[in-house]
Amino acid sequence: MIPDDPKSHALPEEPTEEFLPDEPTEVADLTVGRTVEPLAPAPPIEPCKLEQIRGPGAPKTFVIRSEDVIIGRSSTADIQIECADLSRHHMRLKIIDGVHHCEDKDSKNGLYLNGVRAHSATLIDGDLIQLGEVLLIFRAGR
Amino acid sequence: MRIFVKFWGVRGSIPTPGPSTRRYGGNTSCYEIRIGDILIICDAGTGIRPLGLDLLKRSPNAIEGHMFLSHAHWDHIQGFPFFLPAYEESTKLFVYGLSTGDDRPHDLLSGQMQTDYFPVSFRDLGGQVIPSYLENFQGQIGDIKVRALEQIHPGASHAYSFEHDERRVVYMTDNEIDQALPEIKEDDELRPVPPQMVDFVQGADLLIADGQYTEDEYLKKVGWGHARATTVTDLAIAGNVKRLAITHHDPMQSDQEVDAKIAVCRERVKKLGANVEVFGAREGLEIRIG
Repeated sequence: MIPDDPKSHALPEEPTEEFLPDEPTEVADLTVGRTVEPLAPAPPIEPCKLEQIRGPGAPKTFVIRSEDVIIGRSSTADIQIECADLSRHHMRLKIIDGVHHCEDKDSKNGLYLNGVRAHSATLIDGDLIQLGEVLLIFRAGR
Repeated sequence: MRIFVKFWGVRGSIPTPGPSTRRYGGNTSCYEIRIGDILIICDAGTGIRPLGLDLLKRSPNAIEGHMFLSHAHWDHIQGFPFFLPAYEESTKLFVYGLSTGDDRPHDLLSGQMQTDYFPVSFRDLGGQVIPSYLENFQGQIGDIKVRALEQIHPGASHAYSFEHDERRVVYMTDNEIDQALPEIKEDDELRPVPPQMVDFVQGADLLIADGQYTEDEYLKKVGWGHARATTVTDLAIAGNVKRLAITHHDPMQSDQEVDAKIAVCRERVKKLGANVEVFGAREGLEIRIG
């Protein structure tokens, strides 16, 4: 028996084209008989960021492209900030179900969220994270 | 042993989702206290729904929890029918009354699942929801000492203290302390808060307390069952509390308005020469004690 060739079931290939309008075109809105502008294309996804505004190396922006990141003094941390106040692995930043969370990794000097000592917290855009002398602003991206 | 406290719902009265409450959150009262393997849940407002989802994700074994309700007004029980662990056969949930035979908290949870209010019957929950009791407002869960205190609230409400290894968390919501003051005025002196409440919070590592109103808001809502944030601050000062989480934020308060309310309380602590750390309870925030 000849094995079934999946290609034999395939439709003839057609050239594909990405629909990326470079300028808005008018489209008829049949519900009201007027013309409306089409929806603008969705803005590109931006990763979240940590903006370091205080501490060694500031100002500096760290772009977070991973779902699980360790910040600390050690060279084994994903984001290394060479500051004596930081523990080797000081804080974890992770994404769970699309929500960003920070967590203290049992650090010596603790994690402060908007000035409040926290073990962990969900983050929203503009939150201030303090790790010893280091001050970071969380930017949520989109 | 360390105590972990997580805020799952910090809004008073009614859920308030939306951009103006995004930072502090819009879910109604629910707090998780973990001491070793023991899970304590204070109140079952809408915050209990995300707590339930999180418990299912992080618990490899059957979920066992001890639930204490401050009282049964909507914002403290309305999330329970959406607490998914209660639908799991392996779940055991102990719901505490204040003394032997006090099934009221259990009955109120089940009562809100009658057909008139909710499509799924309490009997259809797969898990065990077990009436349990303190003895005359006191009890023990493992090594954790539990105490309760009657508060000032229409229809009554209760505060709870959880103590382990000389560390203590007090949950005190829906308590109109101002009603016990000889007069309501703005002042720069420590207000004469009731001594039994001071005793109850004395030396707590964390006091989670209802400070729903600003001074102006309270004057329009006297007798509604909630305190001025500044009066709760005075209670924390009088009781030498280490950290005060002001909660049960008014549904009309935006994030900026909660910030302003907390700033007034911090200023008051300074003026009165005290050193209680005051902060606004925020959804998703977890505190470690010890």
